[in-house]
Amino acid sequence: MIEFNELKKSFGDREILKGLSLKVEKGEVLFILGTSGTGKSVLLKLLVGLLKATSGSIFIDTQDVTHISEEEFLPIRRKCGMVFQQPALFDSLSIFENVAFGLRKHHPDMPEDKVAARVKECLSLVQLSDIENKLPQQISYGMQKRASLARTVAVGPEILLFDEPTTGLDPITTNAVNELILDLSRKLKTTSIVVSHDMHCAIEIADRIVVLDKGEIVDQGTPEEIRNSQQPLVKEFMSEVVGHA
Amino acid sequence: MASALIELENISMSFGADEEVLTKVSLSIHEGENFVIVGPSGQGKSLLLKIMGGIQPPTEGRVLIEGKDLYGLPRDEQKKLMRRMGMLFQKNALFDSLTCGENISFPMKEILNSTDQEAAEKIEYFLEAVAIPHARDLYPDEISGGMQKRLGIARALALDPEIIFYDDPTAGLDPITSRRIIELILELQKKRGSTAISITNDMNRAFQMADRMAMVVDHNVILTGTPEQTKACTDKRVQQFINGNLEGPLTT
Repeated sequence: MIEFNELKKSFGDREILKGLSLKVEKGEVLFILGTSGTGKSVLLKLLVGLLKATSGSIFIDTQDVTHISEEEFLPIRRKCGMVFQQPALFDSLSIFENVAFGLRKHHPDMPEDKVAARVKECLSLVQLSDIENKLPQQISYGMQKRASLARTVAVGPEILLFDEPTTGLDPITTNAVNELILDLSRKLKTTSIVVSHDMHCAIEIADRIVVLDKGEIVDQGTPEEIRNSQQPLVKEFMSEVVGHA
Repeated sequence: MASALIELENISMSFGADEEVLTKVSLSIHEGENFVIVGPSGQGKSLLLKIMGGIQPPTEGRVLIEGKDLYGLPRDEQKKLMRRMGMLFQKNALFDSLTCGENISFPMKEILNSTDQEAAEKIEYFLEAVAIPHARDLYPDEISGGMQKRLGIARALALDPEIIFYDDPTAGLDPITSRRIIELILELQKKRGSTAISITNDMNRAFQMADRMAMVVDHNVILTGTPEQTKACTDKRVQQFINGNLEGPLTT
């Protein structure tokens, strides 16, 4: 479980998060929605210790991680798999080697046959079994995204963090990535936090949706509750979904 | 009926012997029109835009701007023609050692020989228009990705181009900001009477923007017409794409 209590974060005199409290249950797929610049990515970065909170606290599985040292953070970060907006693959390594890289780094004692088996397992999870010897630039962008996901899940994270996973993708790839997030989260029983501004995706796959505006939660609920919300910002987001249909 | 401003005649583009991306594409774009190009990733949308914009000569075929062969013109005439065009790149291509304000004024001074006074007015106007007035003295890496996008748009528009190419103008922006950016683009374009050719993968934005649309797929361009005609297009590839269906001709 992840818990944010009265979390505040300022940069200089700009207060980005203004006392945010939120609990994320184990195994939940939670979407955090909001316009650009409302502090969604800041929240993710605070969670994995890339930024430090100005005040308030963050708990991961009952451990207070708000002010712990970089060294103490390492084992916690291993629990968290971060999926970046861009696939961020190493372009001189094959897809197999890309997935194996993180695995070898996290588990230096793992024998090579185990590494190979795990890589193959993860590539098959994202339906990429047949392209393991290709270089990133030889496969489509959608496939690169999947390979990047395989690399993240290979090390066995308990928490998956997605930073705008479908931004800039075409409609077909968007739906494919969505299905993948849901499928992986269920199969691996991870807790997943997806930072996004795609209400359509959120409605499709979230267990719960939290809507942020100017550093504060303005609404939250199940997709059904959000769909019927009267909150102005939520309604504006929803109008895009209706427009899509 | 508006006349053809840009005409593509049998454009082919290949990289090496066996990788032809575009095959004999012909297309005309009218003056004052909003033309939107959609299509799956990696099929050559950005390439097509660069060919029209004078940045990437095609392997075969001609690009005519007001009847003049863009790649066949003497260098100085080609340059003159290209000064009337503006381009917003997919990755913004901002100058990272210049402030946001300077990013706008630098090309104005270089290309339009604008005075400091003119540049300052344009900086204020366009930063306000894209809703990032507070970013004037910040550097690009001090603002968010969405704000960088808006700065890129402000910089392109400040040059007052007659023809403007937008490569995915709202990628990475939230839908609410996106809709406002498109409203802004349309408003400024109407005022100026300019012609815009845009790429987007967001169907809501495409329908909001387009007078006419086309889809780049299978080395070719399918002209699908107005948003209404596009929605009713019977080509199965077009239907699969605009609805985002996982199954269909594009994914087999």
